[in-house]
Amino acid sequence: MLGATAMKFSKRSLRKKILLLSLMPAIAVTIVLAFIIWNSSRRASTIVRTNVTDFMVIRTQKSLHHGYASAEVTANYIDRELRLNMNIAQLILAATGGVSLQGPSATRELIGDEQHVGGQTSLQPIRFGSDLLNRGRSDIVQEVAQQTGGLAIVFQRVGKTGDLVRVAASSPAVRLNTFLGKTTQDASVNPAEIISSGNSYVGRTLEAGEWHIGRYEPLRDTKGEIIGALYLGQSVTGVTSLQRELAANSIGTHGSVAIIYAHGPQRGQMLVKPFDIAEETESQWLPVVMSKSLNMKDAQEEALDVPSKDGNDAAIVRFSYIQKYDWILVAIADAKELRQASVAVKSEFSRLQWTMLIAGLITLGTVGALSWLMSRRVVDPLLGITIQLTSSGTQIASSASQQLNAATSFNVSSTEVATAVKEISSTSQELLRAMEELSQEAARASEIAREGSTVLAGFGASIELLERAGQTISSSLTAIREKAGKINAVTAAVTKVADQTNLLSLNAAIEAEKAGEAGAGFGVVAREIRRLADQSARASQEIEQTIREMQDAVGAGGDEVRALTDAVEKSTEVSELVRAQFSEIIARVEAMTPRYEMVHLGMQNQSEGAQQISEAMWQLTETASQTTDAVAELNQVSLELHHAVNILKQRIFEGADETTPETLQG
Amino acid sequence: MSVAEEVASATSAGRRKQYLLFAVGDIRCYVELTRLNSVVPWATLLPAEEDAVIGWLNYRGNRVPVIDMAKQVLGEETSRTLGSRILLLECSGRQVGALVSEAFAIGTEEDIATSGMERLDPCEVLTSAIARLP
Repeated sequence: MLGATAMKFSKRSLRKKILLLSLMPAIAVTIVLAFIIWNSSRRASTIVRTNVTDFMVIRTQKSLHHGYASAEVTANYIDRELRLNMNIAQLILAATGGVSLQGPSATRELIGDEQHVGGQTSLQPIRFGSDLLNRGRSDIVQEVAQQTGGLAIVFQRVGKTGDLVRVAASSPAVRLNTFLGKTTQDASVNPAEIISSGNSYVGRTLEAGEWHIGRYEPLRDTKGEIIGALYLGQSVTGVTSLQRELAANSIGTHGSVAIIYAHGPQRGQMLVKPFDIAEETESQWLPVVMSKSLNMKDAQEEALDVPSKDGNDAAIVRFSYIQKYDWILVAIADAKELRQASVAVKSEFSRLQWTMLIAGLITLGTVGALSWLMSRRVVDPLLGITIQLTSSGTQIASSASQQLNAATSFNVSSTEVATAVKEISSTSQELLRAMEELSQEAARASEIAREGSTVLAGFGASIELLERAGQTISSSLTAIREKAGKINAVTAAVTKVADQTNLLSLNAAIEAEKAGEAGAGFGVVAREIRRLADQSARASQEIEQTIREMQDAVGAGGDEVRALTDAVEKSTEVSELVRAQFSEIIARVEAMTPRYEMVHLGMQNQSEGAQQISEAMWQLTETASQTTDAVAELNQVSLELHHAVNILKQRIFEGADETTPETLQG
Repeated sequence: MSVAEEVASATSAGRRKQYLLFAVGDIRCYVELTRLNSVVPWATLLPAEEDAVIGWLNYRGNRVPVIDMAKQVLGEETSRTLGSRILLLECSGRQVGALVSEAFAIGTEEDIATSGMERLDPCEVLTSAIARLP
C-alpha cells in the first residue's frame, strides 16, 4: 500500500515534469520572438521616420529650387524678348528718319502726383520722321507695338530735372501727360533719373493700370541729346502661367506652394494661395516669413518648422526670394504625411506580433496536449509493470520460503530482483524525461531556425535581425549540448544498473541450480533478467552513440551559424547562403527523430521483457505452491506410513490378531 | 514459447546442467554453476599480509580470502575493471574468493561443446595458494 502511494506520487510528479519540460521551451521561444519583433518594430519605425523626414525636407527644398529656377528662366526669357523687341523698335524708328524735336511748342496740361508738380507746360513736340506725336496717338508707335506684340509708350523729357512724361502710347488705356513714377519695388531707385543719365531700365511697373515687366530706353535726337524715352512692356499676365505652374507644384498629398509679394504696397498679398496644411498653419509661418523677407537677397533660402500641439512637427516650410518678381516663394509640406509611413510600419509590426502570439498559443496548446498524452503513455504502463513485478516478487518470495531447501536464498534473490527492476524502471523514467527534453530542444532549435529562415526571407536587408536570430540559435544549440551531456550521465547510470542486474541474474542462476528441480523455473527467470540487463546495456550504448553523433552535428551547426553571422555583416548576398545552411541544420536536427524512435523501440522491448518476467513470476508462484503441497503431502504420507509400520511392529511382537486396514488408511 | 510456458516446462521436464562462462586474462573457461556459492563485483578488500591473497573480502560478516586467478594461471595480475568479478566457492571445506577478469555468460553443455573452452575449477588452481593460508 505504501509503495503504491509513493508510485502514484512519483507518477504525478513525473507527468508534471514532462509537461513542464515540454511547455517551457515553447513559452521561451514565444517570448523571445515577441521581444525580437517588438524591438525590430521600434527600430524600423524610427528608421522610416528619419528617412521619410529627410526625404520630405529634400522634396520641399527641391520644389523650392524648381520654382526658383522656373521663375528665373521665365524672367530671362522675358528680358531677352524685351531687348530683342527694343532693337526692332529702334530699327523701325531709325527707318522713319530718326527722332527729333521739331516745330512750334504746344501747351500741355500735365497731371501731377505725389512726387511731381502738374500744370501747364509748353513743350516742343517729338517727331519720328514725318510723324508728330503731339496728338497722343501715333502710327509709328502703333506699328512698334504691333511688331513687338506688347505695349509701347513714348515719354518726353520735361525740364532740367529729367522727369519723363507720357506723350504717346499704343493703348488708349495709358493715361497721357502723366509722370513716370518711382517703382514700387525699391524706393531708392528712380527710373527717370537712370534713363536721363543715358542708361536703360528694366523692371516691373504699373502701366495702363496693369502690372508690366518692361524696358525703358532713352530716345536720343540726331545730336545725341536725350529728349525722351521709349517703353516696351509685357503684361504680367504672361507670368501667370509661371504662377500656375508653381501652384501646381504640390508636395506630397497635403503640401503646397505659396507666392507672396515682399515689398511695396502689395507686400503680404498672396499671388498664389496655398491650401490644406499650409492654410491651417498660416498664422504660424506667415509672420515669420514676412519679417524675414525684408532682409532677404535674391535666391536666398530660409527654413522653418511649424510645431503642432502634440509636440510633433505640423508642417515643414522652406522659402526663397525671387527679386525679379519681388516674390517670396514658399513651399509647405505636411509633416503628418511622413509620420503616416512610420505609423503604417508600426501597425504592420503589431499585426505580426499578434500573429506570432496566436501562433505561440497554438503551439503551446499542441505541445501541452501532446506531452500530456505522451506522459500518460509513458508513465502508466511503466507503473503497472513495476507494481505487478513487486507483488509477484513478494508472492514468489513467500512461496519460495515455504520450500524446504532453497527458501532463504529464494526470498533474498527475489527481493533483490524486485529492487533491480524498480531501479531500472526509475532510471528508464529519468532517461525518458531526458530524451523528451532533448527532443524538445531539438524541435525548438529547428523551430527557431525555421523562424529565422522566414524572417530572412521577409527582411532580406535586415541584417541585425539575422544576427539576433543567429545568436538565439547558437544559444539553443548550446542548450542542446548541455542536455546531451545530462543524458550521457543518465546512460552511464543505466549501464551501471544493467551491470548490477547481470550480476544478480548470475547469482540467481547459481541459487536456482542449487535448488535443483524446484529451482528450474527460477533459472529461466534468471536468464530472462539477464537478457533484460543485456538489452538495457545495448540500449544505453545506442543512446550514447546517438548523442555523440548529435553533439557533433550540433557543434558543426553552431560553428557554421557563428561563422555565417559574422560573414553576413559584410554582405547581404550571404543571406541566401545562410538560408541554405539553416535548412541543412533543420534537416540534421530532424534526422535525429528516427533515432529517438529506435531508442523508444528498445525501451518498449525492455518493458515487454519485464511483462514476460512478471508472467513467469506468476507461473513460478503456482508451481512453487504445487511443489510445497506435494512435499507437504509426501511428508504427511511418510509420517503416517511410519506410524502404520510402528503399529504393525507392535502387533507382531504382541502376537495379536491382524491389524485392521482402516488404521493404515488413517 | 513465452517465458511463463518455459518456466512451466522447465519445472515438469527437468533441466539441463548449467555452467558459468568466465575469463582469466585472455583465457576463456567454464565451471559448473553448482560449484559456486555466489558471484560478487569487485569491492575494496581489507589488506592482507599473506603473499598468496590479494585481500580479505567481507562477505555477509565472514572474512573470505581473495586470490587472483590470473596470477596463479598466467603469472600476471588481473587488471581490475567494472567487469571484474569475484567467484565465491568452497575449496576443501573453506570459503575462498577467486578474482577473474569477467563472468560473461551462463551456458549449457551445447554451448561449451561448440566454443572449445576449457574447464577450469578454481579450487584445483588455487590448491597450493590455499595451502599457504593461515
